[in-house]
Amino acid sequence: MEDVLINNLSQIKEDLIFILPEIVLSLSIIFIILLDLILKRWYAGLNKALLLIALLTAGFVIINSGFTSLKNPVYIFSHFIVISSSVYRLKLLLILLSALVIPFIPNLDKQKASIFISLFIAILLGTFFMISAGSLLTIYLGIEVVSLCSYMLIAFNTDTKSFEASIKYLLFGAVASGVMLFGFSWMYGVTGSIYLTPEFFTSLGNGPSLFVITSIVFVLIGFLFKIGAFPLHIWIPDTYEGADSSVAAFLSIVPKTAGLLLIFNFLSGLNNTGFISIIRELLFISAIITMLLGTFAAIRQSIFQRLLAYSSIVHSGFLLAIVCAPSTNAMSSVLFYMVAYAFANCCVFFINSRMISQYGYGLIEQYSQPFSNKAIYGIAVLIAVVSLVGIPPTLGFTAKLLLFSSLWESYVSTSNSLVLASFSVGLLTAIVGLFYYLKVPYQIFIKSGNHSMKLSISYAEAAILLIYTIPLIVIFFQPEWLLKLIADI
Amino acid sequence: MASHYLSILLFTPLFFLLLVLALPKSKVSASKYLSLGSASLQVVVMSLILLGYKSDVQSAGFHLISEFQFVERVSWFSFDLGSLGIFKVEYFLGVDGLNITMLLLSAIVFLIASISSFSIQSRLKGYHSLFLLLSTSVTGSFIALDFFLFFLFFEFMLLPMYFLIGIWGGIRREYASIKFFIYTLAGSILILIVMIGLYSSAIDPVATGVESGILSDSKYSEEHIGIVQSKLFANEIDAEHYVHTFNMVYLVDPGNYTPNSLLSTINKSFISGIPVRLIAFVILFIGFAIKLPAVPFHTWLPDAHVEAPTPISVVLAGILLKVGGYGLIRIAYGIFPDGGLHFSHLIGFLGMFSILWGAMNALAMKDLKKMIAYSSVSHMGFILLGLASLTSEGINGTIFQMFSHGLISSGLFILAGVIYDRTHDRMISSYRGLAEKMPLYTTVTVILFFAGLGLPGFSGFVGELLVFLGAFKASDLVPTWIVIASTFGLLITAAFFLWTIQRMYFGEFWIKPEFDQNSIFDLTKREKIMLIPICLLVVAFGIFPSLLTDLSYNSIARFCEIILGTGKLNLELLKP
Repeated sequence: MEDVLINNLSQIKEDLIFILPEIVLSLSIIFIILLDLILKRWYAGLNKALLLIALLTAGFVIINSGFTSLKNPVYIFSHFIVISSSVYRLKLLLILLSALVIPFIPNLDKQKASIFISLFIAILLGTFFMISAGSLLTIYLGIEVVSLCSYMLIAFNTDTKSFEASIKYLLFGAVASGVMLFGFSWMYGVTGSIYLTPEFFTSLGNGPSLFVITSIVFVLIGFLFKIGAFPLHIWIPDTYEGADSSVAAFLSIVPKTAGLLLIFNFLSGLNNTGFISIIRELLFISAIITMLLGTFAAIRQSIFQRLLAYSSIVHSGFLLAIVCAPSTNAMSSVLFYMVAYAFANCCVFFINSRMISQYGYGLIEQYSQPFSNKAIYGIAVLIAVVSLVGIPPTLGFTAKLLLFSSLWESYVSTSNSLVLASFSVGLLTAIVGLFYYLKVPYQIFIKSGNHSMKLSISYAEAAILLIYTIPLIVIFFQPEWLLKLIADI
Repeated sequence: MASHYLSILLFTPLFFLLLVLALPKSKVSASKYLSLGSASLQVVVMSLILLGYKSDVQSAGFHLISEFQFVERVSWFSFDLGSLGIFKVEYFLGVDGLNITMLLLSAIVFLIASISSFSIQSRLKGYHSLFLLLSTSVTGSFIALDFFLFFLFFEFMLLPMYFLIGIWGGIRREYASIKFFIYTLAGSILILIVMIGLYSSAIDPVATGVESGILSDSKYSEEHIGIVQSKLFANEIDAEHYVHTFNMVYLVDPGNYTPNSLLSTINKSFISGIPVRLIAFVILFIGFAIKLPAVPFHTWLPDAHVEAPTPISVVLAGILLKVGGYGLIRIAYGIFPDGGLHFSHLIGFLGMFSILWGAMNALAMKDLKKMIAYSSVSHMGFILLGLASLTSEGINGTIFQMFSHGLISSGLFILAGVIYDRTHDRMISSYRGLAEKMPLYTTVTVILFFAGLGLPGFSGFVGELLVFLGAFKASDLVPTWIVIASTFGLLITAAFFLWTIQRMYFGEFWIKPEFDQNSIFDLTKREKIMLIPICLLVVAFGIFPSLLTDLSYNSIARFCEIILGTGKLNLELLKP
């Protein structure tokens, strides 16, 4: 008995080295909270610096761990967590994507600031669990960590709108995770296991079909909630509108990437069962409806952040279609797309956060006002928006080309009409998308308002805009750089 | 130097763009001279290209890379898609008989438009930057021989145009610019679909040969390609060795399509009973027909023209529409000859419909600029009619018509601009007897109107004549009744041009009493500099059409031969 226990403990001790990045993030959360207790006053910009240091350390640990070149996946903590070279690289990518949001984290007062960034790091931690989950419980743990922290992060604006947003998100989230957990329990009932092994999926495949399909659908509801796809997209507009720009940008990038990866892994597990085709079809339908809903709702928006929320719904739908379409390079094109999306999205959210911090609100109409340095903001918005629509010469075009190529490939190999349908709907949404994306550049360049307001730009802000926009153009001309990095994953 | 003429042509405006951006605030007005300098330099380079250009049979181009001239070909980027093979994009420029005249036209039109741009008064830096960007992307789309590169330039035209119309346009500019943008984006997305299908279906035979070890080096030779193609046909090359290409010259050859791909001619793939290749042709055709524009995809054009400032109207009518026509010839017909043959009746019909519909609308217009815009729609119909005939005469006529319409419509829009600059009113009914006060203006108008209605001795006549000759000859492809109906278009065109002359220029001088009566004066020096050369060119090409047709004659003969040959063969293969 004692031997077994000691064995287990020493095994756990050995396994700890594999989750060093997670440990680093957890320690930095504790450190930040302690720092908050020790420091008498909080310096402006300290939260950004701390967040950056935490992310850099975690990134450094990952690069130096040597696990980015693991040959075979390793199962640790008795199969609760799966570690492989690709999981490590994905973590690196998530860290990079989170770092993009740092420049526009709000300057809050002492207590709030530390909590804000702790929650931020905790969400990243949650996504790490989501992508390295080896059991149903780890998935649940990851999703819940992300959700719970997000509820609080959204409520940080402390006005009624953000409170409303948070409550809406909380209610939806609670229902979605409840349903997902219910699905997990059914799965456990069928398979007698919670570990995501090939045997798990085989015995799931041999279960009673109606029962199994229902359980899978329940589980997928939890996943779809995370990426904001139909029918669980309803929380997104209110939440994004109410939340701080940095939070909205972060939520639209990092947890969504993790959610898509989760769906992808889950589907590839199901690949050898008989249920895969019907699940794929259901997801395709969800993707198509998501794209259409997001697009047509976005047309009528007058608040920029709400418009971006609908745009993120459209992108989710599109990516969901790629994730479900069987093709050899689906995952790398999705990641490529996410990178392009992240840069462009952060750029528009950043500019919007400047607008909101100066004048409240963030109505699209406000952009017509003749603020100084209009040209700089205008060109930055234009590049980002053009990339979101997918017009050359921007990274967004290359990303879109890759996605459509993998859909095409998938259609050639399957001749599934739903693939063709999502292909066409994707194209349609791109055209209509142009209409609403151009609203802001249109206000800036073509409309001229009559209030005189000043929106200044400092050198630091100009540099940030360059960080966001230059990759969008440069990588278009040299896509090999990014593709090589992503192809390794 | 000579081997980089095309790159110089392409990057000249970008270089001048940097100069414009570097101008200090106090010197902004110099930017118009920079635009003019860029356009003049392009004309000089273009003349050098014409001097070095060979138009013999050995340089006919179209389906052989070795026969293109001034070729520049560098690998741009490529990436490995694992089991799908490699995906390769090239920076590939070249000239043959199909694009040389368009390139010449683009140099002329941009020169005229840059002179016309002197009238722009506000936000000069922005205007000239966008104008130069537009110039690069138009030039680029004519000389790119890689589909990806072509698409890059083709789609990048939209952004500068959107802002040029949206910021410097007329009263309803916001509506017109977004309508233009959405229509043409829809068109280019249709083209994108086919582009994805093409590159995933076709390979670069030389690079694939090297990749799979069949060829030892990438020295180009006909035989080598034949070996690779026969191995490809026999399915002896692994998919991971495929080097997928966007190279338009390779895309023309059906032998370069992988046997299992959707767009291959031997793989019988259908979507609801129709061969995928034919569907792809239709999609591509619609994509370019929006740009052309052909009825019923034309409604963006009158709006865009009416709202655009004069120089942008000139660019739009003079050269931008021709990108659509050129794309139809080189890409839609060149790559899918089967589609061109199969749908020739329909295309001929659309051509006829555009000719008649455009002309009848023009007849009904009260706004001078809108009338000219609809006359453009009508003239673009001839392009479709000539294409549908697939005879040497017809295609020659198509290209000639594009060139001549480029000149005439540029002139017509400047004429409309002249009168608008004076009174800010474009209504035909606001003027009468202008000949009395503006004799030179009236003379130029009459010359260009006569050229537009296709009077012998002007360039418009040659294009239309060739198109009709071709269309009558190809009675198997274009039913004779369509051609006969199209000739009525000439009648209506004559009617609206002559009626306008009668209403606006003849009779006793009268303008709307609200106008400042002294505002009517004859052409200024700048207007003369623009209009007189156009008139001379229109007459010169009308009397000596061989100046132009000699440039492209051999290429077009080659084009027709290949299209008819492969097209018929492909149609046989595609039969279920």
